[in-house]
Amino acid sequence: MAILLVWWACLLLESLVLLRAFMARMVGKYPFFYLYVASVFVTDIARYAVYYHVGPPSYIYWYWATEFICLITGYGIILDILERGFGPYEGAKKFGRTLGLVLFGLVLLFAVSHSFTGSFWPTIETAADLEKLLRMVQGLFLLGLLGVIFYYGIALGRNVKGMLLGYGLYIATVIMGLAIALYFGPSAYDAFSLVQPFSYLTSLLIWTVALWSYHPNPVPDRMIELESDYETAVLKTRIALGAMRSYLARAARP
Amino acid sequence: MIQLVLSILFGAGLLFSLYVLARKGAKAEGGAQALIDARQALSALKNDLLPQEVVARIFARDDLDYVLSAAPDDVVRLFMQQRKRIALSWVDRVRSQLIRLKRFHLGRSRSYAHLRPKEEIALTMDFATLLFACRVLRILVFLRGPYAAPQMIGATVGIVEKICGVSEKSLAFLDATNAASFDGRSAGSVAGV
Repeated sequence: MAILLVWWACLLLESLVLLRAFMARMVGKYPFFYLYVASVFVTDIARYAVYYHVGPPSYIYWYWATEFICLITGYGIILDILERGFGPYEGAKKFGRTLGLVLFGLVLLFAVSHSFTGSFWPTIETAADLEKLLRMVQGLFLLGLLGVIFYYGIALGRNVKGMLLGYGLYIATVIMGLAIALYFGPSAYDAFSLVQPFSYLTSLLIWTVALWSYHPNPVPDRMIELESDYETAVLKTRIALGAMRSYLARAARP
Repeated sequence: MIQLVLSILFGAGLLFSLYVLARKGAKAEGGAQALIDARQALSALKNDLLPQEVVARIFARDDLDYVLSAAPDDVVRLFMQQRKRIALSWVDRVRSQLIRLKRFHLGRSRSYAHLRPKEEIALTMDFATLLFACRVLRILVFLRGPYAAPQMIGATVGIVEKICGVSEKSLAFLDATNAASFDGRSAGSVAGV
């Protein structure tokens, strides 16, 4: 019964988030995020219909098929965070993109090496294994973005921060839940099936509050545009670093 | 089991990062005032911070030799205490200026569209190594005093030389003429840091 209530609550909040998106004209601002919410909304309705009208055995197959659609559209949220959240910070955005490409390359490398060795990396025997792996990749991307945000001191607006918090919370819960479920077996998987909807409900609550209206990212009052400015910054930094090195070297020598 | 532990650690790490993000203020750092402050810090670093003769005086062994030869034990002890305090203060100042310099650079580079990630990573490593070297130097000065043993000198010089090696490679991309004009030095002296 509790799960059914959570299901309805999720549907209600998803429709509310989408409704607010149209009312506050935010669909164009965060297109991939709303594509994700819309895809989850549609699949939730479809799952509900399948569960009650076709039956639980068919629901399992339907669940995994639709879960992967949501998982793929979920990557769009990361794209929106990168493009919109890092908006005025072109340098940090480029760094984030490069980091994402490097991570993608590493994941691809691991996948290829796994296909050859199959020893260290887990075998993808079930849909849950595959979901865990793909969620881990999403988690890596999010951690990478968070690293760039902290390193460059980027201030996020309420909308993007909410997107990141909500989705990150859901991803972290799913990764930990799936790991526990896959390790301890079917009984743990039942518990995970209860925890996951609550985690998603929490994320939806965060999104509903954070994306109620449009809040752009705070922008520093001065942006660097000239190429020479960056060159100067790099150069000055290097020269000062060199000066500090010589101080240290002098201090260290007898 | 290893997979389970790694997954839980990964998830917990992500949750912790999100917690830190949630507590982070929404104020945009690196505005014009912050850049002016940072420029002043950079100027202080280059022009005012620890001139060569001051650095040489703090760590000069002549002073210790003189005090050892001419003063009673309690004066030597007092001298060592005060010199150690000065040396620690010097290391702290170097470190704090380095942190300000790092903020200054990040504040500027994050907005630059043609940022070179490779260059940024090299600089990040340089900063990290120097900050670590400062930490090591502080601990060694704290434990062994300003006139540290040869082991301390060897270790610190080793770290500094390693940093210099990395820096020299990275400096190759820079136009030596511009470098000299910015600092008012010859290209050779810039490359030789």
